[in-house]
Amino acid sequence: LYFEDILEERRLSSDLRYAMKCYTPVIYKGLSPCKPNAIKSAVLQSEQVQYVIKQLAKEMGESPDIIQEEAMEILDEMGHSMQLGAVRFFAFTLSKIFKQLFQRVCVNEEGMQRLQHAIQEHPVVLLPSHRSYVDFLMLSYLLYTYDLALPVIAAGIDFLGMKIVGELLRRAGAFFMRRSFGGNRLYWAVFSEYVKTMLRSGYAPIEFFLEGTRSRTAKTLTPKFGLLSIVMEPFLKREVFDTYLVPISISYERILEESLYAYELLGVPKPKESTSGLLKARRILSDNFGTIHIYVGQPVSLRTLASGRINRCPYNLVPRHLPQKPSEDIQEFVSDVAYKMELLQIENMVLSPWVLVAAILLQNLPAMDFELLIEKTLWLKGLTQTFGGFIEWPDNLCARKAVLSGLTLHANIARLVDGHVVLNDKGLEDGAVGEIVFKRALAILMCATYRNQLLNVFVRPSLVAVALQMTRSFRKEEVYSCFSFLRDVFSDEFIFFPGISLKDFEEGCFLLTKCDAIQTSQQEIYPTDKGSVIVSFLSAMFKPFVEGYQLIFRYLSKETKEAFTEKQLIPGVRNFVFQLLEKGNTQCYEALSSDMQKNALAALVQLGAVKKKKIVETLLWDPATKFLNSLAGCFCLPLPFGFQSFSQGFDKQREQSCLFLIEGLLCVLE
Amino acid sequence: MVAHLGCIWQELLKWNGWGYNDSKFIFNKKGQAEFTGKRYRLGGMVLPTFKEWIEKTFGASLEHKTTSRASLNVNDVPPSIVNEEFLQDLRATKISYSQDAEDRVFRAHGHCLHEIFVLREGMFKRIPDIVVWPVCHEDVVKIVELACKHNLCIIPFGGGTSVSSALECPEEEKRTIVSLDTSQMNRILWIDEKNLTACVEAGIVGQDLEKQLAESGFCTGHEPDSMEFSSLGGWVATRASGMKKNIYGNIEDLVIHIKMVTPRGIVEKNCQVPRMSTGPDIHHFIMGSEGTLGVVTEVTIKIRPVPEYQKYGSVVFPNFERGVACLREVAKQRCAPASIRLVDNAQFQFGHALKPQVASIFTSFLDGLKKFYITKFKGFDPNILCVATLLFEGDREKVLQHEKQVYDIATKFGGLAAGEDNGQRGYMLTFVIAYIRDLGLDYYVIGESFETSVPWDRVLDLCRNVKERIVRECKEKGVQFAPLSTCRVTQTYDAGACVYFYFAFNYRGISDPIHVYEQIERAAREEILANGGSLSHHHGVGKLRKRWMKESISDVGLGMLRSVKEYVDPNNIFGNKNLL
Repeated sequence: LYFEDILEERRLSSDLRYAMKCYTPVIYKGLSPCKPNAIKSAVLQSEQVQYVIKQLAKEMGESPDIIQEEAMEILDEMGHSMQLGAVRFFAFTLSKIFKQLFQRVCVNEEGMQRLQHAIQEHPVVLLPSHRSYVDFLMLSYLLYTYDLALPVIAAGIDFLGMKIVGELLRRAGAFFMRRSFGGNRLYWAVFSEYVKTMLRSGYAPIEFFLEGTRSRTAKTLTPKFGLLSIVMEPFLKREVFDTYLVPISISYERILEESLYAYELLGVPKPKESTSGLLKARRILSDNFGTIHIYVGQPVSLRTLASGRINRCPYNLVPRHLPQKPSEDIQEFVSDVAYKMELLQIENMVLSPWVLVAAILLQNLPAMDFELLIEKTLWLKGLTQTFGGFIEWPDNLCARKAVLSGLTLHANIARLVDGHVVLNDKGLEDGAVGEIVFKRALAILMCATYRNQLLNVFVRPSLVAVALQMTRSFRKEEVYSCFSFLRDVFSDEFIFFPGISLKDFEEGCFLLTKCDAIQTSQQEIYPTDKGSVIVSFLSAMFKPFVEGYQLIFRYLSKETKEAFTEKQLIPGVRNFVFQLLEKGNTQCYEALSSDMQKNALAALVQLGAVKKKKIVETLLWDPATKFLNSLAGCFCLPLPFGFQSFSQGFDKQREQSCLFLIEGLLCVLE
Repeated sequence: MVAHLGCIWQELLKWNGWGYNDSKFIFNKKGQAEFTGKRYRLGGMVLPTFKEWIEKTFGASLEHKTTSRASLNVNDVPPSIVNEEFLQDLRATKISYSQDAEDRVFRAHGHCLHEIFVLREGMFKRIPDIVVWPVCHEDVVKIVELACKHNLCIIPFGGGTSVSSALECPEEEKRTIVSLDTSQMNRILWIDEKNLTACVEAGIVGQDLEKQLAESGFCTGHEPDSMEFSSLGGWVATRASGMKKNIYGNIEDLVIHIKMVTPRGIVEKNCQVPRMSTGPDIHHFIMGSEGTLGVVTEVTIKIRPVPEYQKYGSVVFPNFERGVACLREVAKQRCAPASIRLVDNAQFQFGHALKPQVASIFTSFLDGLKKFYITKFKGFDPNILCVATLLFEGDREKVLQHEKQVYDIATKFGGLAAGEDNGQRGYMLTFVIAYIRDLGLDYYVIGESFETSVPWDRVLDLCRNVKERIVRECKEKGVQFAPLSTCRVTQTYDAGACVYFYFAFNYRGISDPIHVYEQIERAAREEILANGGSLSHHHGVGKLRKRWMKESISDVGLGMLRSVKEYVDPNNIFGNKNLL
């Protein structure tokens, strides 16, 4: 596989000439050229938008003109106005900035060629992973470099808060969507029609982030479906012959926002996007952020995905311009496509040696022998590759150098002291207990950000390993049942394709067999002698999540009596965990992460242990305490007998008897 | 054996292709295309650009030729198995019949590509065992009674122009198959000038019906593309549609009364009225029943005085989108002429290639001038523009008025009037295109047409997607030459349109062309359905499109049809297995 460093050329020739180069991108074959403003008026005049305008006018007794004006304002707020001048400005300044920040920006050449073909053939949707603000700047920069049509990008409206930058982004092709507009029918109609019009006409590739926001943990976030279902609609209604979805994986050797994220996860709010904030960020320009890898995946034909899958005429019996809630079939299809795309992103994500180092380090705190670290890193490299991880190990670089260069780049996280690698704990010795805990948490969360990049590659075999340890059984049925339970509990934490628990289990077992960690027969699974090292490494890798969830469940069952809002929950859990850490009653720093807390809550809602209620604009969660109690208990203690019956299902009839059983077991164990 | 009457007509027609024996496309000694015979306007004319068009469009070459076997090999034909008791009973009725191989093969097929291909290169696995020629309603009653008595299978046969595999004999049919040829029931029984109706025996073919009515100054105005060969009974059995339906209506609008012989008895109404409210219209069980319920023997049909004046016309549009928009507007204003069709660019070029050699320098100069005006002066791209052909009918004054109204609308959509000649040639193409398929078959080119109906707002999407799907499927299935994939909007309605596709490709290098062809046609049909089009506008379902019936009319709908079949024909005497 060949990666090309696009900065190399930039370091050799004039940025100005590059910015002023003759730019004649390849475009969609069916494109009838039009200006951004023509798109806006086409959207405004479309049957779809006009229909909603008339409906609203009738319902509110207003004149349609007023609503039309409102729609126009929405469009003006939202619409991009791509201009070549702005693009060239970005091409110039970004060249300067990127060269400062990054050593290399590596792109898979063949991916770019495939993309070039795809753009000419059908409308294209670019689906990059989202780890940093750099993502969309970099992607546009890349397409400009390769003479491809620049994408229009769905950006959060908060960017408009940045005065000049917002407008500049708009001219570079960004269009802006409000963070939430569920109830606003006019906004939804205008927005979706705007996106669809651009897609249908093949005006430009459309780019958005399935994850919806930057992942603060570098772990892929569960997908959002709104925009995806919008871009899929023109094909499902056969307004276009096909649509290409292109998964793009962007991985950073060092993430620009790493420390910001860690603060944010610990509850120090993220700075609002502002121009002056951006200027302050200038000092990071002197820092080194290593290499970026961009893997442009194989374009996936939506037609191929849908073939034989969608009941063919969901849209045949209603005029296509009427707003229509997608059928369950379609919703399920959209969700499957979203997960499939994220799994492709994960599969193609390039992993740097440092990711391995971070994973090992986190299991060996507070300090680890350097030589041992090197040895372990090499070992983990092999294991990762067996599991299908895509490691970019610089040519013939020996392990020592690779680890050292990682340590150098990430000197803010870890360093080498007397032949031992330790987390960067400057100022940890003095200061109050609280402060020490906070600083340690910062370092661990930052380090975890890198380990996290491995997790989705490891999650299937690892959950089998965890299940093996939890059940202490070799019976396949029992292990699977535990696996399946863990998969449900972690369904918001890791990316699982919906509804294929057994397949995931089999894949996990297969991978463990492949690295000789386990042997399986028809009925049984048992670790090999050699395998116990792997099995315990894998379950240790996921231990922070098992323990973290357990703490959160315990908090919910013991400390909350009544319904609560998310705003109350997060600080509540944080304080609870913080106190435990201060007392030394737990070592699970990661439970402080608001990301984990939110995921755990979402899982509980799905499992039916917590209920969502809406009371006057505020969401309340209502915990079923008893249920939670048992969940917390079950989750931490190995339960040789009771587990299976518990995890088999949470249907109401069984719930009571399960609780009974588990409470009984808890007593026995105590 | 009683001498039979069927042969005269049969001998005029090709045994392994479309239409008359004397009419076909050939390449003459100079290598130019020519159409033989004197039956059509194109007959005897040289088509100078046709060869080049074929070579360019299909990558075909005159050097690569396939030849059909010259005549039927009687030894290949499955034997006729008829029990002697039935034959005795049949002889007693004095109805003529035949067990001759050629007669039986002639009635074993319609005109689907695979059927013609089998005739040229293979043999059907199952064909009728015996052909009978009833001459009147009573004969049919006797035949059906005998069939019930001896438990035989009857497959009614009209003109044999089916393109839905409707005439193919089910391979697994163990009973004797009787092909009931209606061609000798071809009289006009009476004409009622006061009510403008005529009662006609169902075996009459379209051109005879119009010819005979014209002697009294009338016409039905029902002109399906196959009207030279297809029969009245066939139209009823398939829910046929005619080119001039805008004035005269489709078959369901034309029919006043139907008499049908079923195993259960005769079904008909008690009066011949324009409309009645007596529960669901029983005619609608019969129309489209595709020979699964019985034999239509007599039909009372609406007639009209022959129009005083006819005028062809054509309009060029800058692109297909504008053309469709214009047709939609014409439909909206309900001012469609007798016929209005819009062909896409590929079909326009196809029609152009069939232009005969021009007689004078003056005409060729005029043609050049016209071309210059449209492409250079008006800026139409000759590879994008498309053409609408028009046919006006009525009294002269009204036709001219109507013409102006339609042309005015066309102008609003960027259309330019392009002359009568282009229009007329467009309609001629309809009648000769089936002959072109036989020419193609000689040079490794196979093709077929299929049709659908679709709401107005989906016409463009459907046309584009289906054509693209065909091109892609060809590529995927290993077809080495780009296919001809073209369409026309061929009928307009208030709520939608009928779209007709032609699809053909050069199959050199493919071992099983018919299988590949069928896969692609099937994909195209899937595409049509996914785009909100119907399973069929007028060709019917037959056996070719049965698999999609359930999703087309729902489970319950299918059950309704089944229960009718069960009541009318519990022993499945009419066992052609069409439709259900």
